[in-house]
Amino acid sequence: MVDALRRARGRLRRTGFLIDLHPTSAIAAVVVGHTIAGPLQTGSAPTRHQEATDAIASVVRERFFTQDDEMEFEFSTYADTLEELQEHILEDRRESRIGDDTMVRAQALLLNAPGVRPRVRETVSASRLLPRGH
Amino acid sequence: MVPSFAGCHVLEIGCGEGRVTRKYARDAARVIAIDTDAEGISELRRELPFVDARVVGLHDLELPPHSVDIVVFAWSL
Repeated sequence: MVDALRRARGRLRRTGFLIDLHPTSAIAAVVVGHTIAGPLQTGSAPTRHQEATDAIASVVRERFFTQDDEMEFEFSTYADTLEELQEHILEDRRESRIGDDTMVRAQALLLNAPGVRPRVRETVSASRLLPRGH
Repeated sequence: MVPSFAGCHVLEIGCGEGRVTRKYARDAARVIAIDTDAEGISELRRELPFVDARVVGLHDLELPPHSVDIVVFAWSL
């Protein structure tokens, strides 16, 4: 990850900047309306996300970049049905899935919430980095 | 965090099928979007044919140094 950031810096103009978005290591949740059905099973993803955070800190510490801005926000991925949400997660993300218990709870919640679309909610870290030392 | 992509030359690394690319591509002057997943790049090309979408990793990308205004990593670092 640090190598990718360094290589990216080599492509940037002196006046340019780098934007990184990656989930934090906080556990993502399957949500129906405002109710959490359960955690998303994410395998080793939280470790990778922490590594991304560490990589950003490393290139700033090593003066390849200056951290110009940083924020965290909630990001939700919606689907029309739980099955579609599961399918999307299986296709889009390594190792992640909605576990059986969470699936059952989400189905029960959806029965009492007509028209509500299930979602996966995660916390995303956004950073803007300025290149140094061109 | 991002004032504007207008007029900018953007390199997006690990773009997948373009779920973030489609948010800004029409505003940018030029977008190069790369990913090693050929299926995702194919989908992106269909939806955003004006994007220079390439099946390549950053290590092998042929692009002059210091030639882009914005580099984007979205869920790809």
